[in-house]
Amino acid sequence: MSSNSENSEDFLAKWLANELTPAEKENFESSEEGKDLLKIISSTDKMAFPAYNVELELQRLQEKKKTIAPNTKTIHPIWKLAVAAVLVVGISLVYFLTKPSYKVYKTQFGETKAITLPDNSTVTLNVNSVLKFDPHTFSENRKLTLEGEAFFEVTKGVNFEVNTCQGQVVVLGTSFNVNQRAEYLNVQVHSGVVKVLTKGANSTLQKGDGLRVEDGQLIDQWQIQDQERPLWLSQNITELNNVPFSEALDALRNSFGISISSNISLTSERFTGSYPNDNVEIAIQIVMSTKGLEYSYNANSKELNIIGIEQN
Amino acid sequence: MEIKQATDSCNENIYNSLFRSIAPLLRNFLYAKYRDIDKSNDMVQEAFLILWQKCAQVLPSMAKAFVFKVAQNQMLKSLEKERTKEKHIHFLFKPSHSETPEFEMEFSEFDLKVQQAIEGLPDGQREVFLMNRIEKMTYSEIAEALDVSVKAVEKRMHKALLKLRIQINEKI
Repeated sequence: MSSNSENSEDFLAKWLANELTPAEKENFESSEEGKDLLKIISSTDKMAFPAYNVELELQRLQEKKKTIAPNTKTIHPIWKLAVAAVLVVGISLVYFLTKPSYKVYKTQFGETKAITLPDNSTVTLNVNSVLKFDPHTFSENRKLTLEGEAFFEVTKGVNFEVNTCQGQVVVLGTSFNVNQRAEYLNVQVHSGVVKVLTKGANSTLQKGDGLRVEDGQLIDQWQIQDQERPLWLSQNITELNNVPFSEALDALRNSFGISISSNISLTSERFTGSYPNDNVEIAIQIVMSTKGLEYSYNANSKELNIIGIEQN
Repeated sequence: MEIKQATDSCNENIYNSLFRSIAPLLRNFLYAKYRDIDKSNDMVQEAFLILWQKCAQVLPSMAKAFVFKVAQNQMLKSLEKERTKEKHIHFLFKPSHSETPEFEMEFSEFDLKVQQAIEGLPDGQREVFLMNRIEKMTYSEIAEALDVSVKAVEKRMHKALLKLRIQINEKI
């Protein structure tokens, strides 16, 4: 005779949570196994965790907290902590986005992923990004949420919407690249027509058009000819055009999963250039050399330390 | 609306009350999983410090999931450095009001066997088992804290009970 518990993978859990029918319950509790487990459970009722002194711990925390200011805008003095915090915010967002009924795709540092949507549109997710949609309603309204960067090739059909925290991109059968990280949104159209809706501006983009929005405001517009796919896909290159230097550092972090600390403030600097996504040392060298920065990189711990500006 | 909410975690009173309501549970959860009391206390501190830094981005309603994630991550990082250390759970005695007619004041031999068997469970099963048994969390509460499905929690619970019974019967 085989017992219920061997044939099931959650029978005992249901029993313990009192989710069996009275007959099932009685039957089980009169079996050998049931009796043994009742004994074990009643033994656990006597167990308690060691005491935790909340107030004392809170006091301890307050002491440590004094040395840290909340939501600091200036990055420099607490680089390392800021890096740790950026990572964990990523994690918490993933948690939030993985609530049931949503389909969620996520890439790690340095990882890209090709996804085919239910309507046969394709999405290529760039490094350290999250894409979310609801498969149940996707055929009626093609809505997706993006954190990070992705390249979309959209099949013809009803509206196709990409929502980011910086604004919304709406399209009809086209291909385009969306890059939203932190406080900016970059959109580059590779074919077709795209509409970008943000707090401050609504723009319609044609093939070749690109734009950049910071905090909802239109910052920059440009035209790129004859590019079928973004460079990160076609040539495995990350290209940055007149971006704040902190954004270039973020890009390095996302591409290679490195941590970065700095002895000097670089907030006012901007960066233009491109680096290969498959060679961390060369990429760092390129970004650092444009500003004449002296740095050290530890390949084992993946830590980049910016020491200062080279003296000539 | 969202902006106002977002700053609430930065409000000292709200932050403190978040700590008071979440920290004890988080500590016990970490302890159940990793069996190191000092480290569990420290990780609670660390997770809440990070919450403080990120208070503008983390709504109070997200704070619990946030610190649970952060603390587990930090814990894994720091445990990688010292694998060898022996880990034990020290259970306190809580007099039970049911069943035993005579007034028990300490664990019986059987209780100690049960505890030993619990310590020997895989981390994932032990955390689920103890959070349910001692903290009286429901499966869905545990699933939410661990960011897994309720089904997964039930499976771990089922396996834990099977394993405990086998372990204990072997020793008797």
